[in-house]
Amino acid sequence: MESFLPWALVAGPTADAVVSWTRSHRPLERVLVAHEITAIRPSASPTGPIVGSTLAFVSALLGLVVLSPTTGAATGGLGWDRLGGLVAAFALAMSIVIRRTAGRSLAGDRTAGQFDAAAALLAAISVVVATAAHPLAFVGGWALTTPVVVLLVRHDRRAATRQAARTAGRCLLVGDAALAAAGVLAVYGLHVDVLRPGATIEAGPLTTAVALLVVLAALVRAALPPFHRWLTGSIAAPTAVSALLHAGVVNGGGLLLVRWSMVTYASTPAVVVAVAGGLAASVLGVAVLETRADVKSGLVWSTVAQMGFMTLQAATGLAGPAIAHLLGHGMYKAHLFLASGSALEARAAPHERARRGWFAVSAGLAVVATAAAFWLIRPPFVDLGWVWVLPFAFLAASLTVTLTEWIPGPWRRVAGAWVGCVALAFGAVAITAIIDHVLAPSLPAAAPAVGGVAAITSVVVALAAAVGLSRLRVHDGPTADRAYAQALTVGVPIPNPIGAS
Amino acid sequence: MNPTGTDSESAIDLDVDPDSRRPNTPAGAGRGDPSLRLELGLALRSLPPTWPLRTFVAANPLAGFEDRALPDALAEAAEPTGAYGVLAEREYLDLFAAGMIDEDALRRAVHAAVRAPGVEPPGPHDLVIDGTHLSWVDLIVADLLARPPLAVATAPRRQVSSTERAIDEAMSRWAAAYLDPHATWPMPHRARGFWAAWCRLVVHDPTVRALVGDTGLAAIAQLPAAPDDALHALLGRVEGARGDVLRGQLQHLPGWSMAMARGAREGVDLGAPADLVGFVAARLALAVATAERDGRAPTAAVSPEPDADAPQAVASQGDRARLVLHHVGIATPDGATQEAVARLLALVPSQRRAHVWQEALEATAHERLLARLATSPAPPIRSARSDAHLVCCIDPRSEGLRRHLEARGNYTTIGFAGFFGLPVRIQRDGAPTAEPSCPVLVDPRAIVVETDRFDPHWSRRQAREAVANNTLDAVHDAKVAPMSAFALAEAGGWISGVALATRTFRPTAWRRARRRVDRHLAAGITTRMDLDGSAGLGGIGLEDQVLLAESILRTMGLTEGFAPLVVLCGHGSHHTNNPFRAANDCGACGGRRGGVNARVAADVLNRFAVREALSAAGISIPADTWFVAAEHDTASDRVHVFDVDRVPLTHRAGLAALQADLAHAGAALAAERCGELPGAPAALTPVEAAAHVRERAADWAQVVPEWGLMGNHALVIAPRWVTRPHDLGRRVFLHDYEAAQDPDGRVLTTILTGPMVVAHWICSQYRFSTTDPEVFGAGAKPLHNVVAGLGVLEGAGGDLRLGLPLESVRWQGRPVHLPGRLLVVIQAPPERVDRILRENPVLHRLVGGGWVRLVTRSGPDAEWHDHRVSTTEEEH
Repeated sequence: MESFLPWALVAGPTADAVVSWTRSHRPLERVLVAHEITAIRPSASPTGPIVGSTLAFVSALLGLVVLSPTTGAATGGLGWDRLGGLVAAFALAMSIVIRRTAGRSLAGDRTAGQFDAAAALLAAISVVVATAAHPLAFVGGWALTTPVVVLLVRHDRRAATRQAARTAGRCLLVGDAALAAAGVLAVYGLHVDVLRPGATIEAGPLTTAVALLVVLAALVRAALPPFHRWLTGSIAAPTAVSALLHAGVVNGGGLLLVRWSMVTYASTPAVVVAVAGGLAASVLGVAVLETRADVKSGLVWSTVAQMGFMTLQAATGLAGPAIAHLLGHGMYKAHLFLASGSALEARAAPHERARRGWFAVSAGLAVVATAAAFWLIRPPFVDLGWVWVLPFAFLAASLTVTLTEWIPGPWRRVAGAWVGCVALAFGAVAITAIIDHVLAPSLPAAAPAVGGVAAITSVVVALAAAVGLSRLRVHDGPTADRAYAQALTVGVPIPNPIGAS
Repeated sequence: MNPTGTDSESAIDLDVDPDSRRPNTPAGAGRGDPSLRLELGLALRSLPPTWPLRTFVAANPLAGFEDRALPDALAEAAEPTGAYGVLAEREYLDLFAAGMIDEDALRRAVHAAVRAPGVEPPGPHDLVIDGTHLSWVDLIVADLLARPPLAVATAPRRQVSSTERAIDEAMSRWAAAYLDPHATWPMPHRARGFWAAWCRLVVHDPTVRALVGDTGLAAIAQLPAAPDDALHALLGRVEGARGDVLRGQLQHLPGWSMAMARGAREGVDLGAPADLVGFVAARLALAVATAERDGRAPTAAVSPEPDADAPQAVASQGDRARLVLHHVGIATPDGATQEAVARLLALVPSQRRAHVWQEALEATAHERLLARLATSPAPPIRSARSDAHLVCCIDPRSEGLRRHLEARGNYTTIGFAGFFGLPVRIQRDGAPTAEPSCPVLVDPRAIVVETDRFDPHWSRRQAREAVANNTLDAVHDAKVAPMSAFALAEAGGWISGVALATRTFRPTAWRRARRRVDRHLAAGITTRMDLDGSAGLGGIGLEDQVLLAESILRTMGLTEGFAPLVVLCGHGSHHTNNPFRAANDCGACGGRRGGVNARVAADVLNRFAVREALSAAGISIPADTWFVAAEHDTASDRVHVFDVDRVPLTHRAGLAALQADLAHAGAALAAERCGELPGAPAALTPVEAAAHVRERAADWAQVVPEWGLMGNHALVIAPRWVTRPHDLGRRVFLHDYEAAQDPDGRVLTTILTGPMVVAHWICSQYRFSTTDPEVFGAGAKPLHNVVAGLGVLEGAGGDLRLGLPLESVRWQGRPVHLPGRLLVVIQAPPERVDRILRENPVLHRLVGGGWVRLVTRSGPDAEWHDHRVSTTEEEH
């Protein structure tokens, strides 16, 4: 039964997609009308059914609870494991929610039916990628994503969306080609089941080649610079499309790194490239988003930064936290996109505020709380070592400082805010630990050799970059001017100088 | 009086007072050329008046051309952009098939078009073909009804060259960066003005470098440091009249240009000067640099390049003639007949056809309304005292509420401008500025503070609110700060997941939860309007209060027969996640909700001292009359009554009964609206309908929470009995007016110069947003991208969008709003109206230029009289 579940999960959203497409295009009625058998005029029905997707979602949840945690046998290239089940359930849930909102927000648009069908199809493809047990099945699902993304971005075929779809297609194809090559090399060159956790892969030139190709594909899909264009251009498409890309498609990069980690972890150059790419994206993304005056560009660059961070996690050996981040961020970003029309409802201006200046206390408290959370939660769960604690405590500290430094009024209000932040940090650690524990059988058992060093280096570099960025913002000089102008124009298409006409 | 008032004033004045159109001056602007700013101010007039989206105000996009006749204005305004002022022909055919256009009206429109001055002789004559007598009108109508050739309505859409588009994209980016005061990383040097900042930064912009090359950047660096001097120097290098060049530059980015000219936003300190001169100089500098790079001489203004994709093919006259003859039953005409018919059809050239249709569409709607109003029975004998008066805004949506409430009991309703005649600014206690709450054409001086300081618990509310605000700010900071953003996504992501599911599947539950939080923050305290300025800020003096009270009552015609309860009912729309929410709020209150004005007016009218003074002026309000303020939520059709705790105990029972009737009327109105709202289930009971509209209003994905003022096409200035027997479908502005009480026409002048102009602007805004959603409208909502807290972009760049969103006027590609000019129906002696028209140049222009159609009658038995002020008459 386990071996058939993935196909059942694919079938649900596929059925939705077919019904939705049929409903909006009415091929049968068209034929009947064309032959004057009936007089019914085709009409667009914006909302398709979500029954299939919902059934699939529920089945995936049941599977996670009921089925055995170890990887089962594969059927037709797809197999059940917890990682696949969790990611599939997430993709299905996001698809259901976004399709439901789009049923209303795109109702005045004649392409609503097309969006609905494509979104359902994208969920089906995501299930394929999530549950692929054979490298070539993974590559196949991965490659199918691109045409659907192009279709979604092209939307109503205005000049702007056509251009964005072309850019997206070209950009994503680079990653698809790289992964296809990696898949072929892995299957016919390495002769190892690379997707099986615990597979032993010898380091060597071929492994490094495969690993680098995999990292390249992941960087493209996660929209990390210099492959961010496909995502930055997609603002031309409706909000619902953006929500789908940011909550779903970009996550492919993280899933790829985790699924293929047997190969990538075996190659130090690949790990270094991924860490460097992730680190650069997380720094650059924040710098760029701080210059953006429009809400959607800000969200896009926030995603770039978040995906950079997630890549960093996945590449340094924190596969479980990477998946946890990917799920949390998907919901976070989908919500921000779908609520982006509320930007004007926010208060007109930030209030007059005074800094507390209790950074050290706040940060120290967060570090202690995070350490305590680990100490409390760790025993029953997997041991990823101190590598995991440090970045986490660092993040919790920065969040706590940001959240509490402006709180006005008596000290007990600040104390209240601290308690809230500690609870938040505790909750995040708990969720991450639970996900890591639940997924353990699907995850690599060991971190890459350079993981610890890379994690520490990343924290130091990120801290330096954050300090540098805050200096640049208040600095008055040519360096700051140049940095600002560059950040403001990153991701903007450079006009063709010969386009004089 | 108010230190921050000046910013908002300049923002409001910009489109009213020609002198203040001159943009604010950044420091060291340079004054070598004093006429430059004047010319720029004139050029700015050609742009649609716009306000920041937070306080969207409907305005006629062609307001700058209102001194010309509508057809000329349309031709001139459309010339640079190729904008459409009428629908596509096929849309008119659909409307004709749907019965929205009478064939009679179409024939009259054909007559008018062919007999219009300027049509070349020979005039039309009937034809006799094969013994069949064919009237020329029939033939032209048959031509109009035949499948339309691929005719383009006006000039073909201008296709901007790729270079110009790239310049626009770059300028859009810099303008957005400049105008965003809350960016985490603000544009460096912006405090010194756009030009100064741009000149220092643009050399690092790779897109500009690609456009103009290093030599171009060097040339830009050589330009004078003062924006005026730079613009002067640049204009000297461009061929063509300076006015044309400036207008051309502005028309490339009308949205950003208006925002640059306006600078400071309502209640927000921009932290940088408004610098339109610098913005235009920057754009012109790029235009000149690219032209010089290409070896072209920089030329004036706009270079219209017809869109190659636009349908150009127009069926030949011969084809049209054959089609028409086939239509009337002559299958094989001879050459001469065909030629005669072709000559006849040439009288309505292809480009005019849609305009003929538009005339017919408008005439049909107007005639139908006039015919219905003519059937209203004469005024009923004044019966017993009403249980309550309900004074509503003239807004068409109030018509629905009034109609349903009147059906429920002994109520009298009155239509009146929704700001209740109060030129005031309202300031929430603790807010940094006072926001004007009156028509944008009025410049308010008085400030009224909405406060809760009288309540012993007010500090508790303030503290709670401060914590809430700081938490929101902190979360915003955490979102954009390095590092903490990642932790926030992980920690907050699952909370977002819950929000995502709730807002999608249970929007009402989400809204209830939010309201509960709001109530907690309010700490159970209700606010009061501080009329006397006892908190030390604002206030209205007693004498002014009396003057305002008298003018309010006289303008609404309520000077006797006061009911025990007089409800002053403003309106506003409470829905979510819509940047264009203010478009559904009260236009008379400057795009804000009108409840606050109603509260101030009710407080004034309840004052003993005011009433005493009023009775000296001849208006005696009975001691048992109490004024109550309320607000009609047009999204959910619920009416909220303010300050219930202040209502005398004697009136509580009456108020409770009225509130119950208002609830029923609202539910019935919701049921009526659900018949038209897209996606609403069919045949709902009032209770179900009320629940449905509430859910729509709470739904974050809903693009049509309500239809707003869709369909508005007429303003009736008459006693309520003229309109009361008819269901006007929430499409007509209603202002009460009793001619007998206004012998000198002063009230009518006020109505015509105030509410009528507002209605005309709203009507025009809807019209042009429908006919051209791309140029005059804001495009589709799902593509909108809020920028700089100011407006929306479509997608990632381009101009700041103007006008109404597509979903307000069209649905699935079809127009739901039927465009047309405003019909103003007045019940008053025509001579009085003529005199007012003569005395008011603005009204004379609007009526004479065909912007509004004015129809009057002196009483129920009189015929309608069409006021046609021709421009030739003006010269006599």
